[in-house]
Amino acid sequence: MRSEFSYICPKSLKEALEILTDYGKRARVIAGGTDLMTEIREGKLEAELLVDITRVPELRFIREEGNQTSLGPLTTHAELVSSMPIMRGAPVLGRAAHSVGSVQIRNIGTIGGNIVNASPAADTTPALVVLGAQVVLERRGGERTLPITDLYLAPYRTVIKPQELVTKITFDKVSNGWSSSFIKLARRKALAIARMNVAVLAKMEGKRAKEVRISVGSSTPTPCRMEKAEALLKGTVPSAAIIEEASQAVAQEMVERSGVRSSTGYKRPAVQGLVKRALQEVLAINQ
Amino acid sequence: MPVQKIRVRFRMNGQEHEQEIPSNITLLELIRDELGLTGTKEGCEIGECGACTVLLDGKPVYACLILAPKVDGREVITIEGIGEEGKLHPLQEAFLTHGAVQCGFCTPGMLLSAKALLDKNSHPSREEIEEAISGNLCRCTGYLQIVNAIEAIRSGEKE
Ligand SMILES: Cc1cc2nc3c(=O)[nH]c(=O)nc-3n(C[C@H](O)[C@H](O)[C@H](O)COP(=O)(O)OP(=O)(O)OC[C@H]3O[C@@H](n4cnc5c(N)ncnc54)[C@H](O)[C@@H]3O)c2cc1C
Ligand code: FES
Ligand code: FES
Repeated sequence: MRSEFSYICPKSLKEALEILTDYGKRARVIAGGTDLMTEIREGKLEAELLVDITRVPELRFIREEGNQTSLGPLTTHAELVSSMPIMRGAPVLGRAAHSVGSVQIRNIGTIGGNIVNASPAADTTPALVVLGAQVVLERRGGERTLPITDLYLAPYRTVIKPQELVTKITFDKVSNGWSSSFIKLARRKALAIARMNVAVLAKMEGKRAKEVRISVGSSTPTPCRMEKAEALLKGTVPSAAIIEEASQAVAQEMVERSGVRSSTGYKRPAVQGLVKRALQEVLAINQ
Repeated sequence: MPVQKIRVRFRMNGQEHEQEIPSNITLLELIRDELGLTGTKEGCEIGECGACTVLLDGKPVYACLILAPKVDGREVITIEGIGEEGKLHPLQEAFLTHGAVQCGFCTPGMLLSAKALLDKNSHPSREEIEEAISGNLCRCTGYLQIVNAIEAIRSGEKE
């Protein structure tokens, strides 16, 4: 049985936040709906009121302010891909958005929905994690700003309150001297392999890697940076051997963070291979 | 107070519509069941096959994943809205002459994805054509004929 609900489409942020405060848990936000439609179809949506935020003009923007880029949560994956500020200032996010679904999904799915849905396989998340993105949550009469990694409690669970909306996502531009990579494991439906992905950013200073940031999707209980491997690479002159060592360290850290599971057997080599490819790309080391 | 039934006004295929609809139906159900336009196909219903592709404000989307109340104030183009009565759209001609239609189930969606591409890029490369139709599955043709047909339009080839 399909879920039943009333539907409302506020035309301003103020109106949206008021409705969310009044209804609390009885309301649910819908942006593009690409994730939510599944819940509705399966009758799993519990809210009595669906609040469609796609006509709230304050939530749709891409802005550059000095060294920072900020995005409205309604920015679609297609808009990210065709945005100069993103392709120039955060190509890792552009590539992640480009890997989402198909043209039809990218035209509708939003970055806000991708973040809040909290699927471990969400493609923009590892990119936002390496960018060090901050997420602004607003409710009637207040707001708070959290690093993206602090949003998540567990797969599909976040700290976001029913009264809150994601209203802005910000990060520093990473153009000068930074290189980046985003790689996603080809999806093989028959094997039901989680859609693993990896985002890497690196800043070189001469021949040395000044800073490297790595995040791998679908591999840890909540999104995070792979700090051990990052520390291994920091300050080194990258070589095939160091990349090999760092990729192993990422796989090791994944197992430490998530424990050994039935999926560890295939995930471990998959993660290791994926990270290795991404590191080779950003550090320009060919094997 | 919001209600379970929603009144929506939208343009479909050049015509204004005003309709009272249940809040929880999809755009696909609005098109097929409420308006009786069956050219838009119902396949997987989970955003995997592309048979339900329509243009929403000119962009290809999966009608099975759009909540119908969202069309209020917007413009929808379905396969019935391309070409004219008794005269095929050039893309439809090209699909026929290039053998890009076999069972035909994917065709309406393919045509709309192709139209959206050509509307914004009149000279797409083969790669761009392949990318534009990658969200539309075809179980019959192996895609080659479809890409050829779209490419023929691009280069203005007439047969
Ligand atoms: C066929 C298919 C393929 C897909 N492929 C991919 C893929 O390759 N990679 C990938 O990462 N994802 C994929 N997805 C998932 C989905 O498309 C994305 O997660 C998308 O970005 C979700 O955005 P949305 O606007 O559609 O979210 P919605 O479905 O509207 O919302 C998702 C959740 O976020 C909440 N929400 C939305 N916006 C806000 C906000 N501003 N503040 C607070 N809460 C909010 C909603 O309440 C809901 O809980 C796919 C989905 C489908 C159906
Ligand atoms: S029916 Fe909509 S994508 Fe398959
Ligand atoms: S022609 Fe049969 S699915 Fe494409």
